[in-house]
Amino acid sequence: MTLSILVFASLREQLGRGQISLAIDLPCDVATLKQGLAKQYPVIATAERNGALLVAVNQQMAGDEAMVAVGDEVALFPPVTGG
Amino acid sequence: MSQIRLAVNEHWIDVAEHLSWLSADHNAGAVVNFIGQVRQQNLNEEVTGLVLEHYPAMTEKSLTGLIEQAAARWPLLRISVFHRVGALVPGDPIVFVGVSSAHRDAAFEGARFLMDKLKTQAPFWKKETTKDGDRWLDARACDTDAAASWD
Repeated sequence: MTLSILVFASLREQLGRGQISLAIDLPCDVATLKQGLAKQYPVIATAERNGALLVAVNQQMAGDEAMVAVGDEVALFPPVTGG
Repeated sequence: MSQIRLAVNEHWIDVAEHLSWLSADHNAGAVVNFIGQVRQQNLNEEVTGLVLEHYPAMTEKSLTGLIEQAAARWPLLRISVFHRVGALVPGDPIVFVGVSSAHRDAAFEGARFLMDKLKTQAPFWKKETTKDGDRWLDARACDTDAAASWD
């Protein structure tokens, strides 16, 4: 199925849009999701290689083992720099 | 049970008003606050402006989680967290974090915990404008270390 993913900040600018999509079987874990995204989007592959890729699932920071299911809100972004 | 104020928006931060609210609890023997401001010089360049982007659906949820952790860990009477988004200029306040407590140790630690965690957990991103163009700021390793020191 096709999963829509929100992207923010420098990733959003590099990708040229605030939302991207990926064909993937769900449920899957975040590590698998990142592998799929890295194959399709070179910018994401670079961010992941540089340790500069964070994932949130349902508005919570998610590690590689976290699961993504149908209907979840998934977001990708670089390390945060607020405050 | 701590009293809490939290907002994320484009409005100016009225520091005096926030301090007065934090101080208004008569059991508050200690009030500690932190104000983060836009620096004019950063990474050896003159900064003329700053834009703060955030992930609206996640921002308040994330900050609420941090406030709940602080309230569970220290006996805080009042907790106030305000963070701005949008376009700012040097000297502008970006964030206000303040707490009140009966004694200073809890107040100092609670405020520092909130700032350290906010820096690495809350989904905000800064983009600076300089004469050489715009640039996204990179996260700093010392911030990650500071946040991890509370775990």
